[in-house]
Amino acid sequence: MQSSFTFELDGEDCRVERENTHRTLAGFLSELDPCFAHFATDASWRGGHLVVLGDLEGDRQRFRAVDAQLLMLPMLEGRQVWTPEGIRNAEPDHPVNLALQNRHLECGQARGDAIVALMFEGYYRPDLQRHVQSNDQFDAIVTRSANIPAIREVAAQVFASGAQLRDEYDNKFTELEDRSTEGPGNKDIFEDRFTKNLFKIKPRASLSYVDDSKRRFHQPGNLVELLKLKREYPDAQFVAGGTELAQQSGKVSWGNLISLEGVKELNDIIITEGSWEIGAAVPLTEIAEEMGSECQAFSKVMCRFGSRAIRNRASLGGYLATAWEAGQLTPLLMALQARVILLSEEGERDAPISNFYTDGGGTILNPNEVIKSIIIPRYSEPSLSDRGVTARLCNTYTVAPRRTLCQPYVTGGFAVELRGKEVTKAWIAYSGINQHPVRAREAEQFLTGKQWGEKTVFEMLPILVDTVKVTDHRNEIAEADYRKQLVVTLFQKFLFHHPTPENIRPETLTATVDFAKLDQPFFEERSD
Amino acid sequence: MSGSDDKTIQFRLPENKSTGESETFGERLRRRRQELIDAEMPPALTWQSKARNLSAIVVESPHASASIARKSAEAARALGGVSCILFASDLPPFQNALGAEYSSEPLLAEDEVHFRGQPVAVIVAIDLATCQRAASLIEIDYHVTPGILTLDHAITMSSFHGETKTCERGDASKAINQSAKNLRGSLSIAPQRTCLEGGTKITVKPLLDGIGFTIHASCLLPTAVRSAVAKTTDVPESNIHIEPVDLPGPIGSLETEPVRLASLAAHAVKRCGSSVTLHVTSPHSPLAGGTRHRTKAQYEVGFEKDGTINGVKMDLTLEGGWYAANSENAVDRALLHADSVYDFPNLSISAKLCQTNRTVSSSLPAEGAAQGTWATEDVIQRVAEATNLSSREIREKNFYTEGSQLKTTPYGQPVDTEAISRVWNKALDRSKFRERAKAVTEWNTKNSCYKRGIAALPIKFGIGDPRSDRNAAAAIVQILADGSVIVRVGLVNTNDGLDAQIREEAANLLGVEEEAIRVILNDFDSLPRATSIIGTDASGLILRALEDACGRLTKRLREVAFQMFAARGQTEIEMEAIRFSRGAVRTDSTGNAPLHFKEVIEGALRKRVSLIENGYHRTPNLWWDPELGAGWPFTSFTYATAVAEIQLDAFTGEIQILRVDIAHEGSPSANQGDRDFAQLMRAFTLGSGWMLSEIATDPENEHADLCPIEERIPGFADAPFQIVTDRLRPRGSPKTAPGDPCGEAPVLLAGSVREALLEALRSIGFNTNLNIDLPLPATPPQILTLLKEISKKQDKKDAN
Repeated sequence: MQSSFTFELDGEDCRVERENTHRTLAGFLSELDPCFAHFATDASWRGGHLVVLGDLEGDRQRFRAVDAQLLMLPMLEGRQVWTPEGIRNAEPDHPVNLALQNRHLECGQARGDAIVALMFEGYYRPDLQRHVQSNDQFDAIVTRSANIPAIREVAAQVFASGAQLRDEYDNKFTELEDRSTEGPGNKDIFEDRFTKNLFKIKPRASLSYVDDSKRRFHQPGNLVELLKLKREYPDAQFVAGGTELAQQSGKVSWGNLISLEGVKELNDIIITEGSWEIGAAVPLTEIAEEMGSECQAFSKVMCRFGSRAIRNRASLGGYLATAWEAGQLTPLLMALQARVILLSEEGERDAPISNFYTDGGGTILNPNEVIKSIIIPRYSEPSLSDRGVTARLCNTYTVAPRRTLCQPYVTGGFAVELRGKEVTKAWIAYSGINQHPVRAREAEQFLTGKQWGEKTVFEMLPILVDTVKVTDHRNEIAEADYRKQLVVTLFQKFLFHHPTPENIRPETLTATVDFAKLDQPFFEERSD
Repeated sequence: MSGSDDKTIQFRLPENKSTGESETFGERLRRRRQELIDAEMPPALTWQSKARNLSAIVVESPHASASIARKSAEAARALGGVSCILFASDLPPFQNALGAEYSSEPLLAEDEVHFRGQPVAVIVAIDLATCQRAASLIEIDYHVTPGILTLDHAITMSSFHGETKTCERGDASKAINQSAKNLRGSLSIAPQRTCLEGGTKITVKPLLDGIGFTIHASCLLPTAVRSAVAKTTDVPESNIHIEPVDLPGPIGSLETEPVRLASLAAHAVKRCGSSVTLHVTSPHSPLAGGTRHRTKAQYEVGFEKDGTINGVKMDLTLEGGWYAANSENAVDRALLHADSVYDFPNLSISAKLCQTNRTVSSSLPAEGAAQGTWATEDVIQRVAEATNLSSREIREKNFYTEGSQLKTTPYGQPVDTEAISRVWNKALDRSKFRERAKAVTEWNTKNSCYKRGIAALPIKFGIGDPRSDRNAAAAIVQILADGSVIVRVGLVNTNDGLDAQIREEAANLLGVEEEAIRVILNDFDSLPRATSIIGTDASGLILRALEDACGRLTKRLREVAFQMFAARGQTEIEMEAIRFSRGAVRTDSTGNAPLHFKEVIEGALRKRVSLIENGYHRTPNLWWDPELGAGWPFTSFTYATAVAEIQLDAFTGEIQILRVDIAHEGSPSANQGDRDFAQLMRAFTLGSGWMLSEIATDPENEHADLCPIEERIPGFADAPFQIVTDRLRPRGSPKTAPGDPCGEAPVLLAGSVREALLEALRSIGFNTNLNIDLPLPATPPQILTLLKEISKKQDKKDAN
């Protein structure tokens, strides 16, 4: 057991000794220096107090904008943290600092900080290429005082300069096999003050930290250690990204916390021909980067989940374990027929995600079990044709008071497998309407064997109305009625977008006028 | 003159109600000291009591209207750690009142409560947890009585604050009756919410042995807080030092509630002798968040078949809450903006303020102006529908134009007719309105489930406050020995870049480099006058005051420099030709080596020239007489037009703003930079949130557990995909033009989003014959319900 550890804070080593295991980075910073005093206020609905975390994800070095209110201090051991204040001071000539000079993007420093952190992350982000993506990068900014067009304009400059560096590197090393298309990757393309130390970060090692009140924070390195710890401390609480748990710190006290971030087996994505096996502790952003291009619906729903800063920390395992009744991911996972692998000392078991939730808002997860991974099938043409399926239509829709960072009204996830025009199997799932996400089995059954089309769907809708129960569990104005309507209209929307397997209507705007530069890349790569 | 001849008349304060005598400042201070010594009230200040910081909370009324049958705090007072508990009866006589400007509202409720959240008691204890424990021990019995919670109820009960205000031109009733067509309509505008960001915390510390206070609070009008605390605690204002918290943007605080809370905290300090921090912990407390004025407009309009409007009669009713603080101003503004940009030859507008059993309504940017303008736009919409013409045509037909007879508003202030058509044409051209409107119609015929709408909205916005006494500002400029400059301004710092603008302007005026200038906002001790940031042309006024101060300073320095040039033998120069620029003092004639600014300052110090100047500016000739319905209430008007295009998802009721084109006349600051643009965008976002997503409190159900307002304000991804702005300079010299018109007017422009939504709904058969109101804000649940109703009524019509 150790009573101290270090992490890098704004380029200097910061030693943490005897601090409470539940202490958040925001709380720690607010007492460290008056310039961080604003970190003490709660800003969760305003996008949080963002900082940048330098971390090693698998074998790739990454900067991620994260909410300091949702980071517990021991999670930072051996990592690198850059506060917006630190970013401003460390390298005034950095493209982010240059672009932000003398610009009034937000009122006051505390609010401008979020922009700095997100801009900084975006500069190093390899997958940020088109203007439309700046909406996802900055969705943590929710204030009445942001100058959004100017932020977009500055972001375009900054992101283009990052993309240009990558492009130059690519052209230079185009003949080399190991060239990186993935941001800093294994090579430091940027060679600035920030990336220099990023490349020194080592993989997470085991950590056992004890604070003054004898509370412990364990970070096992592999599954064996993890299960051993769980046996030793049966009451221990698992923590992955901490986005859910850190909100409760200060209100609840845990004697033992076991972090899953260091467990190698839980932090891998294994891609096989038939499926993705996603480790329970892999952050959502990483999953979207891995499978988003193949599974469009997944990257689509991801843009509506929390905010960039939350997605950078939240893991799929953590998301499932908390059994969020209105979570946007579950309906799609149900439609994709995902399975959850649960692990305990007794062994492994797996369950389809549709059976994962229990009545009353809980899950089938036993106290001694941990979610190991989530298996999401890949629906390639050969694998479908093996089963005689000619097409699989799948989509998800989420409706919320605003695009991000709020509790959604309803999310629907739908899939139909077709043989010719006949439905061989259907999946209809919703979240946000009841204490847990549900599937409309009766409606699914009705569709099976019928011809896919407007007539069938209209016959099926009354069954949806009758069998899907909507409870008014949140007591908001007129919302239960609205949810009830959405159960029907979201499926109609699915039919509208997928009237036949051949004819898929695009959801994106096919505008009569060209809206901004949404589809344009930030930086045009050279054609040669 | 001998001393005996000198008949000094001592200035005496108004008669003190408790003693029945008038007294001088000195007498009052001595009396206060004596009161303290007599220990009739608080304990003497000791070093221990000074070192303590106590916490306090307010016990709020849970009912909108009730009489208080019994109040008991015995159990709570016995709780360890509780310093004191104050009810109305515990406050000194005549001190339980907020003052005449707040309708003499009591600080703590006496025998009756009149709105939910009304403070009934203040609990002071060693910490917040003890306060909350004590609050649970306080027993208050209420007899609930029926209250007035809605505007309709107030209108029926004739429950109003003050008189009805009117403004007329021609004979509206006659014109309406003689018109080819006429119709009646009404529009309800739900309020928008605001909140004190980061919770409410007001700290008051004793000062000057207990006869003064230091107040640390987040508020929009610190001087109002100071005056109110001085009045209610009976100390001179000069003994009160106020330290306002920097605000994150111009709407991060409230105007009235901090006044009440600071006064309560000051009473607690007087009682306990220690500094007290008053907390409002619940985000749902009416003390921590306010709403705009709920408004109802009822109108009657007479028009011709070609869309020419002959006469409009409009009644505007605004909800003022239980007591009126700044609400009269909102009523004035609604009244003064209800003509919008249209020259209706016969117009009669009346406006009144309702008294309801709710807390006072707050002012946000464009308060009143937005409600008045949108009500008129509703008239235009209805006429367009009745004449089967597009709303664009109706607008163009009724503009104040160069050719029309009327170029003044109904109250007599001239309108720049050219500017209206300039911004209108600019916005239409820039947005390619005609082509896009055609494309939208095509889109709607092809798409059954995603509907689009495009609309243009012109506005005219009066700059300045109709209460002419508010349209003044002061600035103190002080040059230090090394030539550096301190500029002091009495304005709450909202971190919106105003200090940079002041610095730039001061550097220009004094001819020094920007780095040599330090701007201190928030200085309410030195400044003779504080400027309100909402509702006035704050930066315009301050920049003029600055110009005044710098002008006088440079005049003096020019004389010094002239003498210094002369001492160097350069006598062939004219005083006026001496110029100050970038840290040097030059003459026009070549060959003369310039003086360094610092040298001139050293010279000035040697010659004992004063290097401090108080600049002052008041906008001349402003007046507004609500009884006559006439005046020149605004510095000037700013004109703007917005074109908005939206897409409506008929499956879910969600709305996405696709593109917004704004042509805005204003923004004449030297640097047409980010600040103006940021202000413009901020105001537009505020308005579009009001239109689309920010649900207000439910008037019938005050207890409805609403989500925090932060969950409903539009986020980054909800912003329009494309925003194009044209900022035009007003005609004439920028010197005489207003300086800060971007902060409020664009709120009105967000009305274009609603107009576009109406267009989209029309493409699926929405019209007034269906008798369905378009809700405001038009949130997805409400839009989907509306769509359902439309199809139901249409089916019924078809069946008939």
